[in-house]
Amino acid sequence: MTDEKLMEAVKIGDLKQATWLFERYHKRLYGFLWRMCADQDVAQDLTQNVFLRMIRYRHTYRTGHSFQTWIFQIARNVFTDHYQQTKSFSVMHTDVETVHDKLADPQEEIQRQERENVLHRSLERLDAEQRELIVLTRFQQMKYEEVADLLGLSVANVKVKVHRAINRLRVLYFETERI
Amino acid sequence: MNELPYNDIDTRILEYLEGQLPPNQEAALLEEIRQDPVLQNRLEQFRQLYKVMASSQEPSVPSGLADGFNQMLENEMRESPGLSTGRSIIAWRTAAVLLLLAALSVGTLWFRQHQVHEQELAQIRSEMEKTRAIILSMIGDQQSPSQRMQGVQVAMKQDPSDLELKQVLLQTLNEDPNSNVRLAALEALGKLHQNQGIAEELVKSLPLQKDPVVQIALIRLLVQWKEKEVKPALEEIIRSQETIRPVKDEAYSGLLKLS
Repeated sequence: MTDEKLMEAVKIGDLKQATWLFERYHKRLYGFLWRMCADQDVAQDLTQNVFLRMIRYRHTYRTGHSFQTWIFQIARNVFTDHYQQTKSFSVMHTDVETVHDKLADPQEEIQRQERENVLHRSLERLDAEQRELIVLTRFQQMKYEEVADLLGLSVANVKVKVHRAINRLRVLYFETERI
Repeated sequence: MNELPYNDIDTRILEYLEGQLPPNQEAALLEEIRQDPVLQNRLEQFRQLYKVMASSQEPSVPSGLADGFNQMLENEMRESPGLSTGRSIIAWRTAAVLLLLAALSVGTLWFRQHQVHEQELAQIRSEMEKTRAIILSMIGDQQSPSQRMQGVQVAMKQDPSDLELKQVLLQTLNEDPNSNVRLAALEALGKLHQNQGIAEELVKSLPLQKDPVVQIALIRLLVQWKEKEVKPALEEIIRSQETIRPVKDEAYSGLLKLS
């Protein structure tokens, strides 16, 4: 069953169908919020909050609209809400335990970890809008069309913004690497 | 090496790396890069960055997330008529508080009718304090939005003249990190229209709210109450670059109704 059909069922009161949507989206939403807020505990709480809102505001889901766009819109609101409350971006730690696979070569794994740490520190230095664009397109693998739909922008505008964000990240990444 | 400002060539390099550059433009770009060491360096940097992003690993999802979701879903199903009828600690706790409130109401009535002596009065007051302490502890539970939500809902059934509870609800509306809890606090406060000073406090709260859902709910409530004092805050919302369109529309609509 499609996401949209499942959400339709949830909307009319079949809340058990929300379990399928949780199974399909919780990893992506957690990943998105983790990269945005850089804190595992906060990301967990915010992800929980996204699904709470999905249930509480199920009547606001509009039939025929993309569920992915709707749920990510909720996630963005939840993050913005959190960001406005805390006005902070904590230091991101790449916890070894959070990483799925380990490479066979320890030296290679150490280098990969170092590069990833530099990437995370560079992402932290971006403003929230640019960080979000990169997280959505590069880590969530969303198409420009999907991001445009989510942000209410034209595809061309999204493309320009993403390219500027990547260029800014490039500058920060190689600055950070030199430190 | 000199850092060029971001320009058209960066766009073309990124389009090239994303496989979106037409073949004729690709050849021209590669020739341009071949002749310019600065551009060669830039292309290499973009390549490295793309490689690092592609190899970046997603975090493991904490096991508690699924447990929390299942608990939340169970609570929501229980609260929705015709759905699951299971019980949870939160629901039991809420039910216990409601029962206690009902018992206290009966006790208070009995007291008034029969003029019980001071010792019994003190006992009732003590029980009321305990009830209030339970509610405040639920609202103050920073770990659980659901618990705070339940606390707010129970507080709605309390004596509307209870100043301490009113202050806690206002604080929750202005400071709780969870929008759903703030919305519940707003709903509770919305029932206190006759309470002195409440409208003024809600007007002050509007500029503090950043979630569009809460902003819209608060605007609607204050417009429904015909609170003209909110007009400057509505004008500020309309002027703000950060406000999204639906909130601005609500603010416009509110201003018109209050004019």
